[in-house]
Amino acid sequence: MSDTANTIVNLENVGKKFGNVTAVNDLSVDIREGEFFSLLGPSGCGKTTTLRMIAGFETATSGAVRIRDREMSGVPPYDRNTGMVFQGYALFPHKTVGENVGFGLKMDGVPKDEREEKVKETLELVDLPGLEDRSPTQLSGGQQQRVALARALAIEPSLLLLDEPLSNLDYKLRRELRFQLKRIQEEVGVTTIYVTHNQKEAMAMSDRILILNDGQREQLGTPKEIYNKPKSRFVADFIGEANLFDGTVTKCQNGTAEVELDMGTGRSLSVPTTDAVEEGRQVTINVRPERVTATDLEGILTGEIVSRTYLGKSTRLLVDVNGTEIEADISSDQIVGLSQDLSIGTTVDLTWKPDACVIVGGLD
Amino acid sequence: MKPIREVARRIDLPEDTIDRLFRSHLVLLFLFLYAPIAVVVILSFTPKSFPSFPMEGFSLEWYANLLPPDHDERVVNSLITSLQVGVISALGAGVVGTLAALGLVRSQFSSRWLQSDILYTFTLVPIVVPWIVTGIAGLTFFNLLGIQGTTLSLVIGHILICLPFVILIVSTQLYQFDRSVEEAAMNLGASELRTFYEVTLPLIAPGIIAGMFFAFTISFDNFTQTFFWVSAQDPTLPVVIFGMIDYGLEPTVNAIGAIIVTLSALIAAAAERLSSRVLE
Amino acid sequence: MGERTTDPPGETRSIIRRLSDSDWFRFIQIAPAVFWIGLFLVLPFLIIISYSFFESAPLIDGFGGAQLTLDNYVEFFTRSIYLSILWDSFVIAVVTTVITLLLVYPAAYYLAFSDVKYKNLFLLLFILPFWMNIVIRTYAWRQVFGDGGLVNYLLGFVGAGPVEVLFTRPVVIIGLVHVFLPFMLLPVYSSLSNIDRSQIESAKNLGANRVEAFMEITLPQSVPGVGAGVMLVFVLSFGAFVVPELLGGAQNSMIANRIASMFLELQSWEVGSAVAVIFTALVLALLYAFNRVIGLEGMYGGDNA
Repeated sequence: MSDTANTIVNLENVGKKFGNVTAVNDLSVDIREGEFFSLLGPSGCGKTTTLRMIAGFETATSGAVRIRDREMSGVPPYDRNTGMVFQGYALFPHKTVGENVGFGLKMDGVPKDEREEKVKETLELVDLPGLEDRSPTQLSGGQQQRVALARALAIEPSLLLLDEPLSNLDYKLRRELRFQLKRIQEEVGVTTIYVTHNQKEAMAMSDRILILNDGQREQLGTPKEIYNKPKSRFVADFIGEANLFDGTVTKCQNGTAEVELDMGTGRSLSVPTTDAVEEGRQVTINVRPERVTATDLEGILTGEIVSRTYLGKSTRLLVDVNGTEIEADISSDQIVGLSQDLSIGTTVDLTWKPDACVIVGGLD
Repeated sequence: MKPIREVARRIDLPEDTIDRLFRSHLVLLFLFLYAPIAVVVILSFTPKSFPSFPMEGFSLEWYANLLPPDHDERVVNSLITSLQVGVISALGAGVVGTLAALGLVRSQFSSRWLQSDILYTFTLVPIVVPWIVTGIAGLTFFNLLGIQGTTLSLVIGHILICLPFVILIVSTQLYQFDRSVEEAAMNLGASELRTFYEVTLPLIAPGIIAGMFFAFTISFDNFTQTFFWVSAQDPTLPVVIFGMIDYGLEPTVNAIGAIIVTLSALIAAAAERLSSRVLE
Repeated sequence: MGERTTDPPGETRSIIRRLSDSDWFRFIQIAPAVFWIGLFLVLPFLIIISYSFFESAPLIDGFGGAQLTLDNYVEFFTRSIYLSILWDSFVIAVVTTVITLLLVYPAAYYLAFSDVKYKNLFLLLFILPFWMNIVIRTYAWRQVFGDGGLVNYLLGFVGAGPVEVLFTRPVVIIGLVHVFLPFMLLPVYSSLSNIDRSQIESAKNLGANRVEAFMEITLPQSVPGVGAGVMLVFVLSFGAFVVPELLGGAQNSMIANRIASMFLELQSWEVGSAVAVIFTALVLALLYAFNRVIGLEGMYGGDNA
C-alpha cells in the first residue's frame, strides 16, 4: 500500500519467475515523487527485471505494480507514460536525431511545428543543440546516450527509467555524464529510477538506493545510511570495501557491545550500537579500510604486512593478522608521520576510531 | 598426435611457398569456373551456325537474332514469361516468407506439438527434397487440379521453391535484430502495429529485399522443376534454351548466355558497390 | 527457446486452448508458409506414394476403379536396370561431393585466413556463376569437350586427338562439380571465417606447428560448414537432372532422368512414382543419418539458442 501521498510507484509483494528461475522475489517498495531512486545490485539480481516490470515489458507473476495508485497489470508499455533510456540506447538507426527525439510526440499526435520546437528545446537541455538532422549512427557513444535521454524526456514522462545508461561508456565520460544526468534530472524534476551495478554511480546520484541481491531486497536507504550502516554482510561488501570480522557478543551496555573476535587473537572490539544486543550472539563487524590507520603505539590489531600497493592519495596495505587478511588504506600524510617504514614483512599496529566499527550482520 | 607432428615437421614448407601453393590453387579453380563461361562468350561471336573452334571470323548475327525486327519470338516471349513469373513469385514468397520468419524467430511455443524448431525444419523441406521429386509431385497435383501447364501452377510452384530461401535470409536478419528499439518505440507511446511499421519493417527491409531478390533469381533461373510444370505454349526462358540445345549446339544460346553473364556481372558489381557504400 | 512446461498429471488440455494470445499470433504468421508447403509439396508427395501402389496411374476415373498392387515395387527390385542406375547415381554423387570439397576447402581456407586483397571480389567471383543459368553453364561444357570444342582444338596443336569425351561419366562429374561448387563454398567459407584467429595463434603459442594447429583448432570448427556443404552438394547431385541429360547421353543418365522419362515419355506414372518414393526415402534416410552424425546447424541462418 502506498502510505504517503507523494508515492508515485508502489510495488507490493512483486515477484517474477522465468520458467523455474525466480528473478524477483516478493519485493515491496514505494518510490516518491521527484526523487532519484537507484536499483543497485550485481548482475542477475533482478534490478533490470524490476525496471522492465515498471515499464510494462514484463508482467509480474505475483503481487502488484502501481503507478500513481493505478494497478498496472494489463496496461501496455505505450499507455504508461514512462520514458526509458536503454542500456544500448536503442536509438532508431533509420531516423535522424530529431526524428528520434520527436518520436514520442509524433505518437501522441503533436503537430509538426510544435514537435520541432520541443525537440529543439530538449536537445538544448542535453547540450546537443542543432544536431536534429544528423543520423544517430554518426554520433559518439556519449552523444548517443544524451540523445536517448532527450528522447525519453521529450514526452515529459511521469517517470524516467534509466537502465544502466552509462555502462557502455569509458570511465572519464561516465563521470562527466553522471553529473550532467543528475543536473538535468534536477532541472526537469522528473522522478527517476536508475538501474546500475556501479555502487559509486548510485552513491553519487541517488536520493535513495534499493540494494537487491538474488531478486530480494537487501537494504533501502539514503546513500549515507547504506554506506555507514550496512545492514548485512552482502551490503557491506558490495558498497565500498570492507573488512569483515565474525565474533561473539560478550557484553552489551551503554550503547557499546563488546565483541570477542573468532580469529583467535583473543581480542575484543568495542562496537557502538543503538540496539540492545544480547550476550552470546554471533555477529559480523565491518571496518572500512579507509578508517583503518597505522600507529606507533599499541594498536587494536597487530599483524605482518603482506603486500603494499600505491594508490596515489593513499597506500593500501594487506596485513596478515593471525591468518586473517585485513586491508588498510594509509594516507600519504600519515605515512610521513610514522616512525616505521611500512615495508613488506614488517609488523604493524593497526587502529581505528570506535565509531568506525559497525555491526552489519547477525542482529536478527 | 605423434604421427601428425612427424608428418608436419617433414612438410613444414616456408611460409611464402605455402602462400604460393594456395594462390595457384585459387587461380586454377577460377580457371575451371570461368573457362567454360569464356568459351560460351567467345563462341557467341562465331560466324558459323555450329559453334566450334577455330572460329574463322567474327559475327554479330546471333545477337541480331535476339533483337527486333528479326528476333526469335520464342526467346523473347519466354523471357517475358520468366520475368513475370519471377516478379510475382518473388513478391508472393517475400510476403509469405517474411511473415513466417517473424513468427518463427519470435515465437515461444511451449506446446509439445508446436515447436519452433520443428516448424523451422519443416519450412526447409523444399530445399532437401530432390528437385526432380518436387517437379513430378507438382506435375501430378496440378494435373489433378486441372491447372497443369498454366502460369498459375508455375507461380504456385516457384513460390514453393523460393520460400525457404526467403525464410532463411529474413530470419538471419531477425536474429540480429535488436528488439530494444521496438521496446523503445512502445515506451514512447507507439502501439504494436505502429511499432511494426515505424521501426521493425524499415529495419528488416534490407533482409526482405535481399530475400525477394534472391527469390527472383531462383525463379528466373529455375529449370528442373519448371520443366515439369510449364506448358508447351508458354514456356520460360530456361526451358526454351533447353529445347534449343537438347540435341545440338545453337549459337543463339551462346549470345543469350553472353548477355546473361554480362548482366549478372553488372548487377553483382552494383550490389557490391552499394553494400560497401552502405557499410561505410 | 522458451521453457518447455510439462503437463500436470491428470490434466489434458487441447493444444488450441494451451496457446497464449501471442502464440496464436505467431502461429497465424507461420501458417501460410506451412500451408503452402503442406498443400503443394507434402500432399502431392502423398499422392505420388498412393500412385505407386496402383496398377496404373494417373487415375483417370478417380480412385474408385483402381486396383491396389505392390507390382511397381517388385519391378523396381527385380529389374536390374533400376538398381544399377540408382547405384550409379549414388556413386556419381559421392565422387562429385568429394571432389567439390577437396577443391573448395583450400580456397575457402585461404580466403578466410589470409589477408588477400580484394577478398570480397574473390568471394563474389565464386558466387557469380550461381546466377548464370544452369542450362547454359552445362551447355558450356559441351563446347569445351565436344567435337569442335576447346579441348580438341587445343589437342590439335600438339598433334593429339581428337578425343571422344562428351557423354562419359567423368564429364558428367565435371559438370556437376562446376554447377554445385558455390553450394559448398558458402557454408565452408562462413564456418571458417567465424573461427577466431587468436585461437590459432594461441595454439601456435602453445607449441603447435601449423599442421597441428589446423588439425586441432581449424578443422574441427569447420565441421558444421563442411557438413552443410557436403549435404547440399550430395543431395543436389544425387538428384541431378540437367547435367546428365545434356552431358551424359543415354549411357550415363541418372535416376532423375529415369524418373522424368517415366513421367513425360513412357507415361508410366505408377512405376515412376515407386522409383521416386524409393529415391526420396533413400535421400531423406541418408540426410537423417548424416544429421545424426554431424549436425546441420550450419545450414540454419541463426542460432535458436
